[in-house]
Amino acid sequence: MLIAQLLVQGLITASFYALAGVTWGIIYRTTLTFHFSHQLVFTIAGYTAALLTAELKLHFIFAFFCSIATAIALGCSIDAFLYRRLREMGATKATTFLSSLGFATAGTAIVLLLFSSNPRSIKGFPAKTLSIGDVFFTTADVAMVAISLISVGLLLLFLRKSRYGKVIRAVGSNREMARNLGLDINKVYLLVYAIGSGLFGVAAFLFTLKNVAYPTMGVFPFFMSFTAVFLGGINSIAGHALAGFILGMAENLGMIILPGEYKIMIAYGILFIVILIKPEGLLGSKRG
Amino acid sequence: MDYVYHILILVIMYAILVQSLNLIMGYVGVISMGHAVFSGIGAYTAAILSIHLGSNFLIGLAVGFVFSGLVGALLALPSLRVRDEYLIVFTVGFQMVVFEFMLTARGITQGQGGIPGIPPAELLGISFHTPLRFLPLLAVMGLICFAIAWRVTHSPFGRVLKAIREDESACRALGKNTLFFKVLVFGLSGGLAAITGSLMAHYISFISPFSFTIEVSVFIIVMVVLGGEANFWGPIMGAAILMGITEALRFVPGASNYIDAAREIFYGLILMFLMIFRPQGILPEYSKRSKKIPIPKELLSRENGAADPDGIKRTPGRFQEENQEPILEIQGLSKSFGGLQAVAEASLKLFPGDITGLIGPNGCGKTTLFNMANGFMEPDQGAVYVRGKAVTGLAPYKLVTEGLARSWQDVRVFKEMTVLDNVMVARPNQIGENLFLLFLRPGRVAREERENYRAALEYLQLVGLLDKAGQLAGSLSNAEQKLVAIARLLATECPILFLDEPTAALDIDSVERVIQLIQEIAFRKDKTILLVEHNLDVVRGLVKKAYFMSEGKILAEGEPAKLMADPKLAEVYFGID
Repeated sequence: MLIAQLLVQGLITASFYALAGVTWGIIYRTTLTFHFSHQLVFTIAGYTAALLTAELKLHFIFAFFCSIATAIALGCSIDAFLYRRLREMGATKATTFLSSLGFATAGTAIVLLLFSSNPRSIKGFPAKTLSIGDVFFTTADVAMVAISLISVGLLLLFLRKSRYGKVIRAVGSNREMARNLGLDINKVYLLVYAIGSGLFGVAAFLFTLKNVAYPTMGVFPFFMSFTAVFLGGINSIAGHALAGFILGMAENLGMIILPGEYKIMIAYGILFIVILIKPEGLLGSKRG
Repeated sequence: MDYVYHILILVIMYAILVQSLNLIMGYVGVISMGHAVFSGIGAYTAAILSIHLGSNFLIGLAVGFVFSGLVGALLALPSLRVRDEYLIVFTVGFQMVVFEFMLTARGITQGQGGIPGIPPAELLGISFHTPLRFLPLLAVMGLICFAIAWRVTHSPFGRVLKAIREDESACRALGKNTLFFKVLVFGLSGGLAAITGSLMAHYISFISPFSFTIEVSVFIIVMVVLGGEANFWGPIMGAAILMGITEALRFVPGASNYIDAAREIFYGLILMFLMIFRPQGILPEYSKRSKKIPIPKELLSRENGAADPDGIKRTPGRFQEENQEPILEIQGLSKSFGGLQAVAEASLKLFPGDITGLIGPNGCGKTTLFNMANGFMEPDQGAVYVRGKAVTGLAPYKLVTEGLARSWQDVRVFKEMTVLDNVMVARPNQIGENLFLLFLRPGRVAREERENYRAALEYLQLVGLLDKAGQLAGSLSNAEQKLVAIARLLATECPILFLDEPTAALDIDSVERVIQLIQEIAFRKDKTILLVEHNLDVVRGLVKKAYFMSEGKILAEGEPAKLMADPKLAEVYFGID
């Protein structure tokens, strides 16, 4: 039965990583900015949910939407006030990455200073343990799987079907052409940061629901999200979701052989091997 | 007093560590997010060797250097196939994996508790166990590390590193195996970082995983950036300032509880605002935009672009002698992208000393053909021969060894390098590019460097840029940059040159100058040239024979004037109905 339990755990983690993957993926694919502050967006969204429900006793569903709103506000502000300025200066990718790294470092430390390292949790959620046979999971797990997979599905649908989705894909594939078509790149970028950050806010809420909020909570989900992006292939959002899913499954099924502490090594090992064999990633294309 | 020595020791240790990262970040332009871990490898190696084997600290130092160097080289290997952003991903992963390993592999690293009781460094019966005694030892080690970094960065090897930073493809097109350089410098950087770690282990006599967290890696990055990337003294500046601030924070009353958070806020903000307001750091790479270059008198007295004493070797106007072997032959090259056939069965021949044209409307496949012939793109079918030898699919840097080099339509000079360095880096077979010979044969390297200096100035004289040799290439006008690119191409000494639209985006006078120059190159320097050009006047003036390409196929060949007189081809070219 251990296998069945690990499979269910795998599904839970996999859905979460799939969501994490597409949130950073859509940003990186479109803007080619190594948005390191994405982890801070996650942390702030998680804290928003925990503080609103625990301190202000607000309903958790209201807090859910507040998490998303905070995430969008922070993500878009970073683009509008930091990255846009650097873009206009003609900064290199490395420069933008470093400024993002600086912002994330300072921001995480500020969270630590304000709220200490004590964990915070979301209150008022009907947390229950459920079971099918010998396999156990919680209501938070169910929420995580359902909401993650629905979010990923909606995003893929949006990118494929809607007008804005097509615009985003066009900008990601060919910046010059998009500019020639008269698209306002800054607006498209802002939209992309809103989508990516908002969905990462969803992920942060789910994470805090299942676990707790703490200052460095964003580090690991962020690590998994960009690992999924490079593993899946930079250009393919579906690839990011698939890669995230594989990473989550591998992490849990890996526990059959390895102790749980080795999950980073598993993720990194998979990435290393795939990149050596297929540098463009699982679903990536060779051109562009 | 011990406290002052202690601070000095920390500054020197960090300066070494920061210099090692500067080699990668400053000179190659690649960010490593896991540099703390390299020093960790050195620290653990030293600790384990000295505790379990009781060995001399120099042995631990050397083993750590080699081990960490090998790990660094291995880490750079995937960059063989992917772009630089992946190195951020791999180094973050590396940082996290090794940190986890330090925490969990209790049998080797003693886990979270770390390794206590590391004996102090000892040499010739002297024990360096107090800060005052340790300081001279550290100073000597620091001097050695800085001397190595100086030698590496102020050498032909370092020049290639900068060229990689500026434009890796252009650097490969000059015959440099850029991966090899990256792997070597990652190895060296990892090794130097390990030296700091092993010295620290002996000095503090205790190590734990928490000395090598990602926060420490970021701290080192901030020091590199603050001091000034690719500035040799920057690391000392960065380490001194940030260590000074960190220590000063300790004296703020009541700050002890917040010191870690406060420090991180502080250097996070420094990093962010530096990138906006002074990305070059306190000490920029070049203090002045122009460097004084001593120029030999006989070069100065010669008129710009005037013939050298060898005189003109051949007379223009010779055209494809019968039964002569082609120096380069392209046979049936094809390439398709998805369903689109970009090049179909294109064949052409170049004869020694000729200038051959390749013309056709936009999007006709010229660039794709060009890229395939130069090894930047793999053909689906077909072959390329240089002097009868098949060179199809060889890497660009190997094609240069075979005698085939290219220029770029978008010029691609190494902007943040002097004009002279732009040309010198292109010189072939430099033994100074070998990291080991650099240290083992300094005399030969110096002699070779003088020859290359002289040769580079000759080429700059030829293109008329002798007086700008000391300026940064990026500060020159577009036309001048094109001339730098031509001098750089000539410096490879390749007999076959592919010129990609050398007159694009130039004013009339500059076009005239470039045409003259190409003629001189072909006839005086004995080069075979394939010229891709849009400007038909340029083609007519230079070329006796041209290939006409359209929709991926070579439609016709012959004298350009005759080609353009053909109404069918003119229609294709100008789109006249």
